[in-house]
Amino acid sequence: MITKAIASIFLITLPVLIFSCKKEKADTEKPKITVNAPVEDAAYKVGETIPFDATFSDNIELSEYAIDIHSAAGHGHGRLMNTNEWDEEINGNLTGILQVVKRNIVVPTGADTGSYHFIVTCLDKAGNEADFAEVDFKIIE
Amino acid sequence: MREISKVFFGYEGSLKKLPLLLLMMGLGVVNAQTYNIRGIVVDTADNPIVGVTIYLHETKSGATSNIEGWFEIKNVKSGTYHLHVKHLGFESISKNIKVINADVEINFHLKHATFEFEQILVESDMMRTGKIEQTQTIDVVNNDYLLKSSGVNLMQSLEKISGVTYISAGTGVAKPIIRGMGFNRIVTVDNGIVQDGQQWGSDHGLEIDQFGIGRVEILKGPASLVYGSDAMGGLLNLKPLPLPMQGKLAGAFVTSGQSNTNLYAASLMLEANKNGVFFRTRASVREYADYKVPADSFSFNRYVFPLYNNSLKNTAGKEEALSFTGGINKSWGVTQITASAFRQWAGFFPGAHGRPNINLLQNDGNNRNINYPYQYVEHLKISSNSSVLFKKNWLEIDLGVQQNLRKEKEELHTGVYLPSYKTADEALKLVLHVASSTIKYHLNVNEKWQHVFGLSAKRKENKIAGYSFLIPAFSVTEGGIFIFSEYRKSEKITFSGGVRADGGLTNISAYTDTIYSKELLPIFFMERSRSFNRSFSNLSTSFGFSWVTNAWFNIKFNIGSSFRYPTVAELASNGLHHGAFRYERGYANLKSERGYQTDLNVTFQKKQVMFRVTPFFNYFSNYIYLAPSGKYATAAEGGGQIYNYKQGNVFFTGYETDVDIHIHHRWHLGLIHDFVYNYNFSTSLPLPFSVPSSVTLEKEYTLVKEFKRFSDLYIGLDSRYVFAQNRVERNEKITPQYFLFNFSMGSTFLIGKQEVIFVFQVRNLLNQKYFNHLSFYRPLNLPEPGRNFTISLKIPFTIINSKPQ
Repeated sequence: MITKAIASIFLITLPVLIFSCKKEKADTEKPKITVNAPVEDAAYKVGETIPFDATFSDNIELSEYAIDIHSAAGHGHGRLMNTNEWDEEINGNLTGILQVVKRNIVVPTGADTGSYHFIVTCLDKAGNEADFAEVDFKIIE
Repeated sequence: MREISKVFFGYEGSLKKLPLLLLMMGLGVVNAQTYNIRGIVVDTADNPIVGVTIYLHETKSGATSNIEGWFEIKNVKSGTYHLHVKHLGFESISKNIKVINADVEINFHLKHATFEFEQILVESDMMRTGKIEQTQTIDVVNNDYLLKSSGVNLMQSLEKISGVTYISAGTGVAKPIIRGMGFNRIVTVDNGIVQDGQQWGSDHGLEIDQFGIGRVEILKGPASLVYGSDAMGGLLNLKPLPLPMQGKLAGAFVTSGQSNTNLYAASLMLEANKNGVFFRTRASVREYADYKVPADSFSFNRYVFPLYNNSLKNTAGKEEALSFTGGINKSWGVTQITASAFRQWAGFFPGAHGRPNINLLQNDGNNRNINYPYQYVEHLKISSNSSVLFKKNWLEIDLGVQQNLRKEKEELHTGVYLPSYKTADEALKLVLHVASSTIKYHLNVNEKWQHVFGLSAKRKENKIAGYSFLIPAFSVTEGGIFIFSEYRKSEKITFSGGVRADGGLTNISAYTDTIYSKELLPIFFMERSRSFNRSFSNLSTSFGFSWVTNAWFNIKFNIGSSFRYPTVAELASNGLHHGAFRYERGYANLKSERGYQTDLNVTFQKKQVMFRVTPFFNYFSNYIYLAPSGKYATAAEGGGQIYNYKQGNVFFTGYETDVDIHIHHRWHLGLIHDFVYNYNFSTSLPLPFSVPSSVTLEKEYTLVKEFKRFSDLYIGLDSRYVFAQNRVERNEKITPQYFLFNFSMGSTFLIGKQEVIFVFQVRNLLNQKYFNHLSFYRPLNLPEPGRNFTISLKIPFTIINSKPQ
């Protein structure tokens, strides 16, 4: 009786397990980012153009990228509200499995000098997030 | 302080009526005559047993057998009762008895129990029957167990129970998981009242003083029939200590220290009972520093970040708790009121909010400070529990009001400007008010048939403030009606089953975010939430049986349906969740989740061996989950990938295995193993936070049973192997396996006449570096705490004992 009961439980679960195995495998592969420019520790003056050049790739279909530029001083923690730190987020669409994005980003006039982060992220259509790429740069007088 | 007064004013009406209502019920039976229950307790060889506790569940009154085995419970009114008979070393007995206008004589034959396998009486089982008769799997641990296994938080103290684990966010924050389900799918009941806070967040803990817990009953599987929505995955029922002894003024002092976090905790309890009027009061504190890990750096996303002094910056915390219980137990029943206040400050590792950044991780030179970001939680609760004799049967009334205040403190983000009425460091402030009531009528028809009729109602109101937006203000009104019946066909077979109908209404408020310019002028308005109402209704059923095939085997089987209403977070959240760094967006048209659940429990118990296996199989339709969209939220919205709440069909299966062997009267071996498998048919992926399988082998040796001033001196070694979790949701990390050793020893000894209970433990004996798949910090590759020495002392004391036994 007991063995029958246990066996019946396994019989109930078995078809579902088999069924689940037949399903197509979901896309869980992350897209990839290679930032060619700007280069690490580059320095730019206020009003100057930063050439952005990055390659995005995915196994199935790319979706979007985002560039996040902000001061390295605080990451939004313990910041004074009246500073003129440059803080900008730029989004763009991507298609296909490989795309090179080139765009010019101008350092806004009046931005504070100092160390900044340039963080690039990207998503594929399925929602997989790439490991982000970080480039540190400086704004000088 | 303002919040405290709010809860009193807000619910003044319902609280005022409460004592009056109870008084009226008491008066109705006050003049009735009382009778006595008496008899003799003997063992199987007909020798009288002294010191056996015989008590009535409903009135919490009882007697102890004398040297001739004779006992007498006085002042019992006509009615039906659950009589419990228990004595160490013997099997417990649970019996339904009727007192009808006459004294009752009843004799008991107690069987010798094999070591610790005494039958524990379980209150979470609606019928108040024994562990054998109940049809669901319920594990029970008492206060001594909690002291012996005391972890950094309540859930760590319970982690050795098969099928039970937790999601943690540092030292002080842990939320229960039973059979792979957590958050709003598990109900925690404290003092008869469902604990209501913001359970949807993985970084929101239990918010309960663990020193005040007398015992924990864990129901694995649906408890929807009694607790309605949210109880589909299981129940964590926290019960207070038994009522204080008549004629006694006593107390206990418990203190604990831990090396890893430099934790110290202390709790003082005082209690008294005079002629059935009793009180208990408790004050507890707990404070801990940043936790230490066996690593000086962690790697995240191709970068290596430092961990100064091997510790996780800003993970320190503090807890304070106060509670008071007062009540009366008389022949007409028991009524008690408990008021409790709990406060917690818990810091977050700064790298966990947003992306880790080297500047944020610099050593702040202080491991006890709680800096930004941190959470402050305040939970106030007033509950009343009564069990009153009504027309020869028992009416059980649980009423509660609660206030949960949660503040998430974080400094303002760059580029955000706020008018002065908004506090610059308050990201989120959520104030939840809850009033709830459950009324149950226990009707004992005869020896075989018992019914419970129940009615429950709840009202929740949530207000929001803070400069960030995550969930809107809302109110929820819900109610349910149920019937549950038990049929004891024979000594060997018990059937139980029930039906419950539920209805609920959710009102969600609109919220518009205003973005200000540097000059504090509104630039634009963004609708975060629109105003809408949703109504839900459900019908749940359950059926089960327990069959004792012979003296060794017990088989339990359950099948039932359960449900859960979508939470407001699921319906209407619309904001960046900083902890998870994703933008979560609710869906207003979500339907109720439905569960179809079945489980089996096969227990073999013979002499020194106990073996139990409990497979389960659960299928859910409209199961709510978060799915990534492949799109970013705009900068104004806060950024991060948008995750949408969606519904799909999901199944969970798994089992727990428990083996308990006493190879010798001093040697105890235990094996605890559990496994959970889940699958989401809509994504063809597992669900997030899938519990990894684990095996724990416990070995305990009693060095001294009784010697001079020492008793129960034991040493123990646990080895715990947790399997790798390779089945993960999209964007979730796989987690490698790990193997840990924990050492423990303890004893009870006398200093003069004072009894002291001492426990010493070492967790992670080998200082292993490992990752916990269920940690809030797992995505950052932050290792778990290193070696941790714990010392706990419990000093019970008696001030007045006017009736020595």
